[in-house]
Formats: sequence, structure tokens, C-alpha cells
Amino acid sequence: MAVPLTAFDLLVKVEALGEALDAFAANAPNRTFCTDGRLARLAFMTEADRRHFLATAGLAPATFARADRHGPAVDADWVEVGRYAGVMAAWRRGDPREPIVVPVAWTSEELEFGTSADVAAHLERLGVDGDVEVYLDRRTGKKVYVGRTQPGLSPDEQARLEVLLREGSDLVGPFLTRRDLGYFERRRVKKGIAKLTAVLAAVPDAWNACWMLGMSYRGLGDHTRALELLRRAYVIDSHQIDVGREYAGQCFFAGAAEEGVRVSRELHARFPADVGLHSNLALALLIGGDLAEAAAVAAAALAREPADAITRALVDFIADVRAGRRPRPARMPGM
Amino acid sequence: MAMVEVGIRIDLVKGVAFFGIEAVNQRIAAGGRVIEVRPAGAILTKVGAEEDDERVALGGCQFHVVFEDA
Repeated sequence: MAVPLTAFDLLVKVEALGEALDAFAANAPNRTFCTDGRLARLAFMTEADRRHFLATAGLAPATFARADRHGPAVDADWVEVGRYAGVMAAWRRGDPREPIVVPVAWTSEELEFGTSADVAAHLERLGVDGDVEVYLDRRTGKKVYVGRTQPGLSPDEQARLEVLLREGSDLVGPFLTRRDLGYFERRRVKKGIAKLTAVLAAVPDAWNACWMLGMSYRGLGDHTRALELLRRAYVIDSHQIDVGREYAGQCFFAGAAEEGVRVSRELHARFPADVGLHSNLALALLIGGDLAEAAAVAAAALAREPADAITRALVDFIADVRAGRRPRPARMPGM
Repeated sequence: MAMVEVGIRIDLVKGVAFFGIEAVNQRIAAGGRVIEVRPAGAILTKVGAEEDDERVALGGCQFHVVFEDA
């Protein structure tokens, strides 16, 4: 079974939604919901709207995929995209594609794709008609329409939030990796947290504010709150290596070993060229208790960079744990 | 004569399921020629029953696409 791809689509595993499927459909911000029984699908006309929806929908990592009609491209290996039944479509890998299910309000018209550079160079914003932004394409003299689910910020509000973000970043930045904060340092971090929280309240998909908040709460020792925020930052933008790395690390600090192993596997799959993430997967498996796979992954990482002292130490450490010479660690080192 | 069944099933929440389209496209891409399209019937869904009466809803329809023999 398959669903069509329209622009910037969001595909959710139906079994992950469970009984919440009906509420997910009812609360969709536009009329693009459909489901083939395996995938629930929403489409957005801009990546920003999809990101905003993800920031507020409360979906767990690994339960959804972003699929772009332009390309096409998809960021999860359990989804396949391609041409089917005369249109671009997506389906669960390995599933039969028949039938294709489209939203009741769907049409097969092709949309024009433009990058933000195209928009800046060639389109003149004329205004907003309901939830549709209207532009004039200077090249053709024709009007161009973009359906939005989230109104844009006014220039004044945008400027105010950029100042808040900068001030908050300046306050917490020096302490993001520190664990031994003194009284005045903690007070400064809390001031920064207040500013970043205000940014996140106004812009729920501000992954950078979300990530800095998570790191700040970690520094203050509130590891549950830190995990919530780092997980949310990862949901908003899983393409940032640092976001994923710190999210995975926080899982082990907050006692969520199974989640940490899953994220580490995802990161290694998404950034296979990063040897550090390969080693981190071995460490995650060690902490998660899968010693045999941890040893195999660590050996594979070491084979890629034989001179890396940290990975060499990890291989030896895993061997010691397997032999009973050391206890299995419960968290990432350095935390 | 080869015949492919195509049609739609409508669910106002889940969406409209189109079936048979890809099978037709594949035959056309392989050089098949459509010689006839026939109505095949309505798709009715039972939505309830009262004594001897069965209540049904129209949930879609089917067609037969007939191809010339290769």
C-alpha cells in the first residue's frame, strides 16, 4: 500500500500512533491527511511548516520519516519512495504497494518547487490570503501561491527573538559542557534558560534554542528535563550531528539505555562516514548490555582508524568487561 | 483478452484508495492496447442492520479495463 508524495511530507508509522490515529487525523493542520493502514501521511508546502508541526506534535523519534517530493528523498530506511500508479509515492519497505491511498481533497497537479534562494531572487511577496501566501514571480509575471499551516513572524518579532536567542546563547554558551557550576554560574545559566525558553515558546521549532536548553539543564543536573529537550531537538532536526550525539549521550545519563542504543544506531546509519559515531555506537551497546555486538562494532571502528587511541581503549575496555575484569558502565564517560 | 480490475474505495477520513492503476500502467508500458473499459459495479459497505433490512453505504466503484490479446 502506498500514499502520494506532494511536497514536504511527513510519514508516521500507523502502529506507533495506535489508538491516537483518529486524533492525529482530526488535529492535522491541513486537509492532506490520508492513511493506507501502514503509513499515516501529512503534506506541507514548506519545510518550515513541517518542522513546526513536528516540534509540537509530540511524535517519538523513529516513528516518523520526512519524505520530500523534490529529489525525491526520505530520511528513514523503512520507507521507500518512487513512482507508482502514475504519481510519486511512498510505501513501507517490503510491503505491497497496491492500492495507493490519497486524501479526499487531493489532486494530482504538479507543484513547482523553489529553493529559498529562488524565492529571494525571483518572488515578490504580495501578501496573505487566509492561510495562503501570495507572491509575484518577476520572471513570468504570474502569481504563485504557497499554502501555510503556520503564519510567519513579523519582522519586529523576528528581530526581538533573534536578540533573545543571542543573549541566551551568550549566557549559557560557556557552560554547556561544564558539570561543576558554582552559584554565580548557575544563576547565569538560569538567566539564559529564561531567555531561550521564551524563544522556544514563540518558535517551537527552534532546534538550536531547544538543544542549548537541553545542554543547560544537563549542566544544572536536571537530566529528565535535559532528555526531553534534547529528544525534541532531535525530532525537529535530526540532521545535526551534535544534536544526535548529545541526545544519545543524555539517554544513558537519564537511564534510557534502550532509547540510547536505538539513537546511536540511527546516527551511525545516517552519518556512516563519522568514525566517532561508529565508536559511540559500540559504547552505547556496551552500556546497553549487548557485549558481543559492542565488541564487533568497536573492532570495526578501530579497523577504520587504527591509530585512534580512544577507540583502542574502548576495544580493550569492552574486552575487560566481557572477561569480568571490570563492571559494565552505566553511562557515557565524561558525564 | 486480458482484463484488469480498477476502481476506488472511499473513506472520508482515511482517504481514497485507487487500485488496479499500476497493473494497467504496466501493461500499457509493455505495449498493451486498451480496447474497452466496462463498468464492473459499485462497492457497498455494510454500515448496520435493522431486522431484515441491511443498511449499506456506497464506498466506491470498479471498472474493468480490457486489453487486446498480445
